[in-house]
This record gives sequence, C-alpha cells and structure tokens, in this order.
Amino acid sequence: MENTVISKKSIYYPPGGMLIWIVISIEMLTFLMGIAAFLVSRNAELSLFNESQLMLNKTFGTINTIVLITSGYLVAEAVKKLAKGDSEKSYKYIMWAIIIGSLFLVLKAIEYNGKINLGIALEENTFFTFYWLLTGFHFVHVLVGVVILTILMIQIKKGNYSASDYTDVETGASFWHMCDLIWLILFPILYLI
Amino acid sequence: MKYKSQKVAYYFFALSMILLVLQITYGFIMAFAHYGMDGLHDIIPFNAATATHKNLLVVWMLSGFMGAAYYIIPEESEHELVSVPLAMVQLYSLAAVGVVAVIGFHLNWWEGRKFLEIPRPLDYLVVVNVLLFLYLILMTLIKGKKRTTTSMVLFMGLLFAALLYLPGMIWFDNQTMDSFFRWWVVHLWVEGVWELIMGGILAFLLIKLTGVDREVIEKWLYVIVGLTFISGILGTGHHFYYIGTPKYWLMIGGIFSALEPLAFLGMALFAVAMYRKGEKRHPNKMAINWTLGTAIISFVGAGLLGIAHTLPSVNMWTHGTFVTAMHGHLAFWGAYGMLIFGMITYVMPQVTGRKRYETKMSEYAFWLSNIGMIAMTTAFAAAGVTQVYLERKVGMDFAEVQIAMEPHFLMLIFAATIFATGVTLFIIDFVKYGLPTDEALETE
Repeated sequence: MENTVISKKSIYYPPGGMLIWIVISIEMLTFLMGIAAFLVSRNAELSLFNESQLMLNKTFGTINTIVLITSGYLVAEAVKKLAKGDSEKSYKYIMWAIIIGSLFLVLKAIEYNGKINLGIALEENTFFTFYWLLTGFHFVHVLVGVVILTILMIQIKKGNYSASDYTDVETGASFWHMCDLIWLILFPILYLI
Repeated sequence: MKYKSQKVAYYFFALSMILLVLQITYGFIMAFAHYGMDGLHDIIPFNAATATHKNLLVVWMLSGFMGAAYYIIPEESEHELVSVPLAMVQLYSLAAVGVVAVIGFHLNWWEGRKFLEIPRPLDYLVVVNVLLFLYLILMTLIKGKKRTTTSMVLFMGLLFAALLYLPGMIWFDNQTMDSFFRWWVVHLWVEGVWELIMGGILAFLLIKLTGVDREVIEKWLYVIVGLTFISGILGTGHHFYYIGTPKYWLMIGGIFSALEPLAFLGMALFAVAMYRKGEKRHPNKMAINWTLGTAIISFVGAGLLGIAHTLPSVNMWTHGTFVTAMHGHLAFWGAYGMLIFGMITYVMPQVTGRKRYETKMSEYAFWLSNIGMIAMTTAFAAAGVTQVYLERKVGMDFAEVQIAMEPHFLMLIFAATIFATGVTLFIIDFVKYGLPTDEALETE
C-alpha cells in the first residue's frame, strides 16, 4: 500500500488488537500448564502412557493436523484479500476455511465416538484423563473458532469491512491460528511421542 | 448524588455495618474459644458461633453490594430507582431474615451445611427478597436512558449470584452430591460471579475517582475481570476432589486456580496505572485509598495466598486446616470487604452532602483495619502450619493439636483487636456523616 501511515498504533499494536493477544497468551499458558502436568504424570507411569497412546488413532490425528493447517492458510488468505479490498474473494476463502475447519470437528467427533464405544471415558486411566481434558478443551476452542469465523463471514458478505477497516477479521484469524498452534503442540505430545 | 433515590444505598450500608460488628463479635468469641476461654459454650456453642460468623459475612457483603447497586444503577442509567418504598421493604425483610436466622442458630434450628446453615423455610424468603431486589434494579435499568457496560456487568453479576443460590437448595441424599452443589453457591460466588460485581463497582469507582475516560476503564477492566471470572469457574474445582469427586478435578482445579492470581495481578496493576494516569483526581482521597487497596490486597489475599495452597501437592496436606482460614480472611477482606468500604467512603459525602474528605479518623480506620487484618492472616498462617505439621505429619490427635495451637490464638486476638479498632473508627466516621438528605442533590 503506497499511502501507509506509520503511526504509534501501527507499530505497537499487534494484528487484531492488543486484547486478543492477551487472550492468546493466557490460553497458551493454560495449555502449556496442562501439557507440563501431562509430561510429569507421564514420567511417573511411563508404560501405562505408552500402552494407552497406542490406542489412539494416529491416522485421524494426522489428517486433522493437515485439515487445521489448510484451514489456517485459507483464513490467512481471506485476511490478505480483504486487505486488498477484495471482499468477494475474501468471503470465498473464509467460507472454505469454515467448511474445512468443521471437518476437524467431525473427524474428532468420530474419534471420540470410537473411544466411548470402547468404554474409554475420562476416568479410564491417567493418560485418558489428560487425553479427554486436553483435546476436549481444544475441541471447544475450535468450535468457538468456527462460530467466530461464521460471524465474520456474514459480516464480510454484508460488506461491513473494507481495506482500511478489517481489524475484527484479523482478531478472529488470530484466534483461529491459536487453535492451529495448540493442536500442533498437542498432537505430537499426545499421539506420537 | 444525582438522584434522590440513591439515598437508599445509605440504609443498606448501615445494615451492612451492623452485621459486620456482629460478625466480628462472633469471630472474637471463637478466637477466645480456641485460646481455651470457652465460658460462653453453654449459650453460644462453637457450631452456632461459626455458623453465625460465616453467614453474617455473606449477608453483610450482600447488603453492601445491594447498597452499591442502588447507588450505581440510578446514576449509570440516569433514572430514579423505580420504587424507594419497595427498596426499603426489601431492606427490612433482608434484616428480618438475617435476625431470625441468627437467633435460630442459637436454638439449634439450622442445616449442618457450611455457609448455607440457614433453614429451608428461610431459604425461600431469601429467594423472594433477592427477586424483589433484582426486579427493582432491572426495571430501573429498563426505564433508564443509558445502559452502560458498568451497569450491565454489575447487573449480570447480581443476577448470576442469585441464580447460583438455587443449586444449594436442591435436596440430595448423597453427601458428595450435596457438597458438590453446595460449593456452587459460595465458591462460585467468590471465585466467579462476585468478581463481576467487583468489576462493576471497581470500574464505577475508578471512573469517578481517577477522572480517566470511561472507555479506557471499561474496555480494559472487563477484559481482566473476564479472565478472573473464566479462570475462577474451573478454578473452583480445586476443592472437588476432597469432597469425593473423581481425580481429574485435581488437575482441572490445579491449573485453573493457578491462573487466578495472574488475573488479580492484572487488576492490581491496572487500578494503579489508572490512578497514575488520572488527571482529574477526586478530592475524596480515602475512597481512592480503599479502591487501590482492594485491588492490591485482593491480589495478595485471594491471588497469592490462594496459590500458596491450591496446588494439589500442597493442598493434600493443608485442606480444611487453618491455612484455609488464613487465605479466606485476607481474600474476603481484600476483594470484597475493602471494596464495600471503598464504595461507602465514596458514597457517604455524596448522599449526606458533607464533604468530610480525609478526616484523621478515616485515615486511622484504613491503616489499623488493614494492618490488623494482615496480622490476623499471619497468626492464622502460623496456626495452620503448626496444625498441618503436628496433625498430618507427626500424626498427633486432633484435640491434642488444638491445645498445642492455643498460643497462636493469643496472637490472633491481639491482631483482631487492631482490626476491630480500625473497623470501629470507620463506623464512628460513618455515623458522624449523619443521615442522607435531599439537599445533597447536585444541580447541573
């Protein structure tokens, strides 16, 4: 953009505004505390954790990782298009981001259903307590993310954003990327290592 | 004061002060009993004293919140309270229920459930009373010209607090189920929805006292309050394992309650930052003291002293000892006691028209009550650590440990005397303001 003005705000304010980054920091901190607790418990019951881990569906996990990264890419593109003032394309990108993001929820629901059918619930053992809580909290975040993106999609369709005013979309996108990031940490630790 | 009906706040604050005096009296009775001087045992047995002490705590704070709401809501929504007589009916009925409950405790008419000892018939009266209160507040909001964030947050806090009273009234045959839902009442209050009320009142006070723009305060404060609130809901889980719920509550409760101090720290830093930033400071310096005090002491009492024993590896030793009393006293005082005192200090000159800012007595009241409460907290901590060590590490009998702890209660009585002196000075200052008057109306 040729007429970009460098102001105090544009230097000090991260994309999407300060508030969402406070939220993101605290969310990350919370999940990292949960993961730290997981690792400590894992050391105490190493063989139980390794046996339980083999019962997880790595294929679904891997597909879901690809799904989230793809959806994250699409949201990033949607923001870029909006920054160029192309709300038509932005709308399409964000719509596909929502569809693919919802695929994560569907796959996860199938995975959860399988566990429940096997009778593996929250109190199966320490590993599965962590599995349910950590992925469950993450699941809720993705769900919230999809709702946020849907609201943004409707607003974009209505033409409520322009190249000079799209902070809300950046805020939503930041939240969505946080969901990616958390999954990228959770997936290897819970499913692979 | 901008609206005549805001005077109602005064009477709720007065009730609040009377109940606080009673609460402190019963605190002293228990402290002396712990010290070994239990001469009143036949008239006021320990269970009656502890039930009275805890229930009065809840009621004086609720009365304080109601007073605050009756002052804030008309001012924020720019409309007179819909009915002053009904508000007074609500006040008297609240006082009547309180008096009957306290007398009942002494006649063995009570339910043996901590914090919710009041018998079932009185529960229903409380519900009716609170419904009346909410009706008056809501109608004022609806008829008012403005709906500010502050008044909405305050109303939501009060509404949720009322709703959360109901789980405590469900009947369970199972002890664990009963405890689980009983925790919802006072614990989801203090760690959850009361923080919305605190946020609303704190925002109001900061807007009035620092002169910083409403937009700045409302935007940031509610983010912080939101964090406190969200971490607090799951943070309440730190008790659940010990009342018989599954083990995973240890982890949920541990992690989320560990986040709570961060939110409180945010609140403290924010309040101080707003104070420094403010250019048009209100001349009521004592109200500013109490307001900043509540932000800081709630961080120390609720935040730091909370995390001092909330982690599962510590809590497995300290649960249900005087370590809890240490945290409980400074947390309630810092987060809610000082907040109500701050509100009273701000409101009194407004409703009486007497601009008695910075009297010597009010300064002594502030410092003595705070020093006294911190000393009490220290005494409880010493007693608690002794108790944990002797009872749970060494394995001495409960009753023997109680005798071994007696010296700590001499310290507690000493500290409590300083605290009570501070509170007494505050109340004398309160009385010196005199009654509220219409002459205090500000004409713009």
